[in-house]
Amino acid sequence: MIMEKSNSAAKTNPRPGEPLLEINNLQVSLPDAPHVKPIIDGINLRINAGEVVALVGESGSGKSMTALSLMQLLPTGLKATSGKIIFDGEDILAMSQRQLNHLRGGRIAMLFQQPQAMLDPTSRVGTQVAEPMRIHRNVDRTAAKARVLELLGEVGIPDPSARADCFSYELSGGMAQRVMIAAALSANPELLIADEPTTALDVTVQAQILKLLDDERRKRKLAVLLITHDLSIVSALADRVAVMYSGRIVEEGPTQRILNSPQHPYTKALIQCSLLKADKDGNLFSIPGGAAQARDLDEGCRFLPRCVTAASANLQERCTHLEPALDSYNDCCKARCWAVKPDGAHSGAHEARRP
Amino acid sequence: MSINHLAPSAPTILEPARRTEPSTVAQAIRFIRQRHWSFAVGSLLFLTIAVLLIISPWIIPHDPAAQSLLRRLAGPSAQHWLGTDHLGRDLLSRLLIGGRFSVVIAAVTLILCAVIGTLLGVISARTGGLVDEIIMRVVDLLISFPDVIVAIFMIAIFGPGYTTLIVSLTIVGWTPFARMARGLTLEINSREYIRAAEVLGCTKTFIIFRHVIPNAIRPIAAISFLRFGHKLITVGGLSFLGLGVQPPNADWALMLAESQAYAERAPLLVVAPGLAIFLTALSVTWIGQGLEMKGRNASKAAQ
Repeated sequence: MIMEKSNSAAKTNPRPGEPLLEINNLQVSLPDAPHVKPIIDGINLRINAGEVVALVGESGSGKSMTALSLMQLLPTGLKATSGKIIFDGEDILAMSQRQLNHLRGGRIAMLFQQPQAMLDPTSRVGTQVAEPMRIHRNVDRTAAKARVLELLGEVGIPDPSARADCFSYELSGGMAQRVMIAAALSANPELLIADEPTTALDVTVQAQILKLLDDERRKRKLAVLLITHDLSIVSALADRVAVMYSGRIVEEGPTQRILNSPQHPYTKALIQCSLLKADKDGNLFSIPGGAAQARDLDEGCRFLPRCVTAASANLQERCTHLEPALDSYNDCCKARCWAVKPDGAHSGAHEARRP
Repeated sequence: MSINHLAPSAPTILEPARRTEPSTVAQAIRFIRQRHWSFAVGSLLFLTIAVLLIISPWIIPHDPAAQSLLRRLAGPSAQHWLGTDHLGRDLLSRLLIGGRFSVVIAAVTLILCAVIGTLLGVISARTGGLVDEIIMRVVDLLISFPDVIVAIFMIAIFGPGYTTLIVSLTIVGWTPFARMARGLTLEINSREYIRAAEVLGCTKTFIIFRHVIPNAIRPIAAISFLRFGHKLITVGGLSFLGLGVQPPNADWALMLAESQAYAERAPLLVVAPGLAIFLTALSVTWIGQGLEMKGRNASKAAQ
């Protein structure tokens, strides 16, 4: 499903293929509670213009917090304590409130998990879709209205003029997500952050929404940061994937390479979970342990308590005391694991131990 | 695999919620019919009173201040439908004129209180931190003064009058609204659509006026109506104490105070203004109650 993009017509600066967003060594923590470990600990991630990057991981791994820190909308108490988030040459973390407001919705848009909850119940759908362009593009009321109807049509809403007068509770989940997409696209952003955009929808609607997202981002040469735990969505949409565990990226690379030959034990386990295959006793596979314990580790690899590879590969000593760095193991992929050899060939113990 | 946990009541695509543009009258009728009976009855009663008070200068049969000591304390007659008071002034005329002051003061004070209270409450909750702390402590401080005491104090300094009365009643009056608006805002703050608005780059002011207040307005409106009666009685109480309308001008509470001594000889003198205050307060309370009842049903249906 993954296609090489052939974007030649550039929308704005930066052109497709050039970096649009660069997260450098981002750390998010609770400044008021110094004993609590950082929620996000030294993330590096680059998103090129027109590229779809997926951020994968289980709940609590810091995916959504990464997204919110891009918007500078972290929950109260959390702060980006170090690092840089460079968007089109400017550091988001150093921006003023005014610049941020311009950025949010104007150049970076965001989709959320619960589309119906994202719409204000007291205001009509059309008004809400129009908000970003009224704020960011200074479009007047009548022009905005026409544009809203056009957008609603584009995102596949039948009878846009009737729908524009609806309230959020009159829409189904899929409809509401379409409306949210229309609102997100209405100011012509360059980057779309989609935080589990289809998790709350049923499977058939999921597929429609994903198709719509894919179509729109191709049409608009939009860069997308896709946050999800569903690897099938990743394989369908993303160019590159970054796997997060306990506030860190543990593996990163082109989607097909990572999904076909994962190196990090966590990525492997995630893929195995998503296959939903039962073993001979009829039990589904699940990763032993919970993500929470990782935060309590003071040294060593954070995945160690749940890692099957470490035990088998005789790396215990190293894994307990030293945390591996996120190193390239071939020309395009990186992994944070002692068991991964730089040439891409994994230590023999690896394959043998997989159940 | 993915479970659809959306509201089962969400309308299907097959049946679009099309609006057939009903006329304003039809909409108004639907609005009233959806509500508790007390809304319709209260509105009707209040409208009647309001219209009577507005047109009173043109319909009163006699000059409300014209005395006729020969006909003092007369019972109802063809000339004086409700009789006369202790100075021979026409009771009906005084009754019609006498409500204007209290009702206007009560309404203006209430609107001021609701607007100021809501704004400060919303700002307090949206800003948080030191601002929140300061506003809420001021509320705590002011709420401990009874409004009548503040009013008496202010009137003692500045003398009676519209402005003094309104200001003095507003000083304390906004506090319950601020508390309530703050509570509502804190709840709305945690809603996803506020986050969505922030993500869309809406400014703080825009979010407050466009998303927070519209979602908080319903309970605030209901409480405003319920508090109208309270305000009316407070204004009445001040007039009764001689701090509101000054004689010879007519005012319901003042009429009550003046005719106390004659309650046995001419009970209507006491009953009529008392009933007028009671009915006005009741009508507005009913409106508020009707609105609130609907509010409860509507939120139940939305879930």
